[in-house]
Amino acid sequence: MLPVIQFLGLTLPVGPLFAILAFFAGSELAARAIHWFSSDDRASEWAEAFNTATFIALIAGLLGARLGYAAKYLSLYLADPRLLLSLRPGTLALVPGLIIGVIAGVYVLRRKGVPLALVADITGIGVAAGLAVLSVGQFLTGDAYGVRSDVPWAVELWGAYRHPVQLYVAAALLSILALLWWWRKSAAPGETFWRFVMLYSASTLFLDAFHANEPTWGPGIRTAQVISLVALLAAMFVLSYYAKSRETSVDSSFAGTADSDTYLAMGKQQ
Amino acid sequence: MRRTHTLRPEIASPSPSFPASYWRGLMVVVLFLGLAWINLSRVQVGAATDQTIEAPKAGFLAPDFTLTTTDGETVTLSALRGKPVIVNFWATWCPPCRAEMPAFEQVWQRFNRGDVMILGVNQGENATAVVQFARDYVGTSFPLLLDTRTEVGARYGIRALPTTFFIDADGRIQDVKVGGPLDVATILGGIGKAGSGN
Repeated sequence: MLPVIQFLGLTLPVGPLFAILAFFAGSELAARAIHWFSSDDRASEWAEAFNTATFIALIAGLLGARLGYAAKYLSLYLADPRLLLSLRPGTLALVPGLIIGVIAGVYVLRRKGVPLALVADITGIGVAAGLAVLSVGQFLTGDAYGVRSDVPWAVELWGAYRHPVQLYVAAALLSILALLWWWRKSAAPGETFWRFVMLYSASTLFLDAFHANEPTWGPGIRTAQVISLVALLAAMFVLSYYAKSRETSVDSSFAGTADSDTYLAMGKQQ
Repeated sequence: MRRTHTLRPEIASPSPSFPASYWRGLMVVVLFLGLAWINLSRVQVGAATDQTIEAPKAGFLAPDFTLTTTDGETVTLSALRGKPVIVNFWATWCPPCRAEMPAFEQVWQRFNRGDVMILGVNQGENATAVVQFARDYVGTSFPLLLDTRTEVGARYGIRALPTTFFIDADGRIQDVKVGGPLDVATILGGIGKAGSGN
C-alpha cells in the first residue's frame, strides 16, 4: 500500500495525484481519438476545441464544487470567504462540480461547432482511459478494495487476503479501450459512446461482486450492479437501433461509418 | 461549400455488430443472467464489510489504543463510543500540524468541548515540549495524547503528518485526511461523514 510518495522533500498523497493524472490522461487520449474518427483538416481544429473545453470544464467544475460545498456551510464561508480559495480537495462537492463542469464543457464545444455525437464518442474513450488510471491509483492506496479470497493472486490488505479487484477493473477498462479502438472503423456517430456504456456496465455488473464495503439495499443487493444492469440494457437497446439503421438505410450517413461529414450530418439533424 | 462525401477504405469495412434481430433476444438473455448474478453475489451480512477487522482505513473499525494525556489522564479510544471522534496525528516540528491547530480548537469549541471528541495524538515528543507548544503557543484545550514511542502511529500506518481520522459513534472510520493544514470547513465535512452535523 502506498498512500503517499515522497518527492523532492514533498509528501504527495497518491489518491489525488492519480485523480489528476487520470483527468489529464483521459482528456489527452480523448482529444487524440478525434483522429480515429475523422481524417480531414477539421479534426485538428476540433481536437484543439476539445482541449479548450476540458480546461474550461475543469475550472468551472472546481468552482461549482467549491461553491456547492460552501452552500452547505454558508455561515462559515460568509464569516471567512478566504476559505473559498483553500487548496484542500476535501472541501469540494462532487455532484454540483460535475454538473457545472459538463454544462460548461458542452457549451464551449457547441460554440466551437464540434458535433455532439463525436464528443460523446471520444468522451467514452477518455473516461475509459481515465478510470483505468484511477483504478491503478486505488490499488496503490488500498481504496475500493476487494472481498476476502484465497485465490493464489490474492493480496494482503486491511487485515485479510483479498481479490485485487482494482486491477481487475483496470484490466477490464483497458480491454474496453482496445475493443473501442478495434471497432472504431465500423462505428456510426455516437455508437462508440453506447458501446462504451454497454461494455463498462457489463464489466461493473460482473466485477462489483468482488468489491467489499459496497453500498447495498434490501437483502444485500449491490446498488452498483442494479444500476449497471439497467444501463447495460439501455445501451443494448440503443445499439439495436444502430444495427437496424445499418441494415435498412441506403444512406451512407448511417451505413456504419463515422467520418467528419457523417458527424456534421448528424449535427444538422439534432 | 458542401464537401464531397468520401469514405476512407478502412472506414467502409463491414460492421462486426449483431444483426438488429439478435439484439432483442440478447437483451432478454442478459437480463436473466444479470439478475441471477446479482442474486448470486448478494452481500452476506458482515462478510464483505469486514465488521470485526481493525484497520486504519475508511469502513473498518478504528484500531483501539490507550494513551496518556499531557495532564496525566488515560484515554482509551473504544471507551469513547457513542459520539464521533477525530484522531489527529501531529508533531510540534510539523508546520501544517501547527497551522491546523486553531481550526481544531474552533471545532472543539463549536461542539461544546466534547460533543465531538478531538484527540491530538503527538508523535514521538515528550510532554514538556507538547505542553509548551500547545498551551502557550497555540492555546488548544482539547485532549493532547502522548505517543512517545509512535506505537499507535505505526498501528495507524502514519506515513505523513498531519493525518486525521474521522470515526463514527460505532468506532468505525468514515474518513481519512492525509496532509494538511485542514481548515474548519474540511473538518466539519469529515464530522458530517462520521455522522454528526452542526
